Amino acid sequence: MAADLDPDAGLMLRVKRGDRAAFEVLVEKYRQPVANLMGRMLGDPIEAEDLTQGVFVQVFRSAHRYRDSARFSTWLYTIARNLCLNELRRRSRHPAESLDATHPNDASQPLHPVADARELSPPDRLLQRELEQKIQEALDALPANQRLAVLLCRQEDVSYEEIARILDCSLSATKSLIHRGRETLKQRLKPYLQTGQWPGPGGGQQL
Amino acid sequence: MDNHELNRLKDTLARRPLTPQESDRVSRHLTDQPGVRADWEAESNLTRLLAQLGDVPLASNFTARVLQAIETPAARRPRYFWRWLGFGRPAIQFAGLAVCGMILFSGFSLRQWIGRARMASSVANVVRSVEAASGLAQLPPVEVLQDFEAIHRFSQPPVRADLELLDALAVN
Repeated sequence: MAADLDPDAGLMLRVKRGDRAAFEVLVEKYRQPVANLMGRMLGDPIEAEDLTQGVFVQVFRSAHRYRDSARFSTWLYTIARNLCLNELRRRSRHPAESLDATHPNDASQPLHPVADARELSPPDRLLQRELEQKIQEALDALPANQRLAVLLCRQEDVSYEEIARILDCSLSATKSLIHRGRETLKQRLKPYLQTGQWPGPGGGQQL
Repeated sequence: MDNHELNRLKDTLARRPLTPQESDRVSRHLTDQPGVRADWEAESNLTRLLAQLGDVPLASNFTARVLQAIETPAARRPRYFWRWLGFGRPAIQFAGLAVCGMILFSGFSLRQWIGRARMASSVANVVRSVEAASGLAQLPPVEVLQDFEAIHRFSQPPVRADLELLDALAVN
């Protein structure tokens, strides 16, 4: 029984019996990893937060279907994956233009500049944001399953076997997805990987 | 270090940056293999790049909002339910409207048909009543019915005594 080995499975069994306090503990523990996954999958932090909320609401409402034969995190990330892929499918049917989209002729400029009077970023903050933007663009260019595999792979507490269960494919297919995804990322981010330097304005930044 | 361990560390590298001890062992192993070294460094730098991705910002009251959302039944569920049914797609919307229209039309037609059937049944009943009434209207007058015994005998074959009486009267 997974509940004996996985304390989160035990908490989830309590949630199944209607224990709100146990649910709150699970939300506190997993909200950031799930939000990070959603954010990197969708590339939109606002939507990621909404969808993360949807994931936890669904966890609570589907609690009666939870079986402790698997780790709780596997079940949670499977729900997250399903909602995420649904959202990506919905987006492909109804494309919307993000205010964060970059200008087609100058990637450093936003498509629709909006002044933000609250924040004046220092140069290192700008560099970090620009770097994250480049990585996000490279991630966005990956097929959804490869992107999900690469991102789940970053979660150290999720094993390859669990990633395979979340993605609903074999272990070898999962490893292949991760390998292909990382190879594509290496190609796209080559200028930054070869030197280990971030060639932003104001000099290089050691990665 | 053998290839098995190198591959194991490569798998580890896909998940997290190596510890200094692990990096040292790999570096010693790769000293005289520049081709493999370049690939290894690209892998290592990619892991470091991905590790640099910051946390997605979450509202400080996120947990409270989730708890509030589970208290309001079906606040979000219908949206997902309809979305799951595909009600965001124009083709599905059109098909849905067409099905609704067909159901409404069928219901209306059925109602009309039942109404007509009831009307026909009522008319048939009235016709039967009228026919029955017209049959009564053809009855003979009451004066004729007063001599019922004579009329009753008309429908019966002549009795022998009557025939003999008729014969006797004819002879006379």
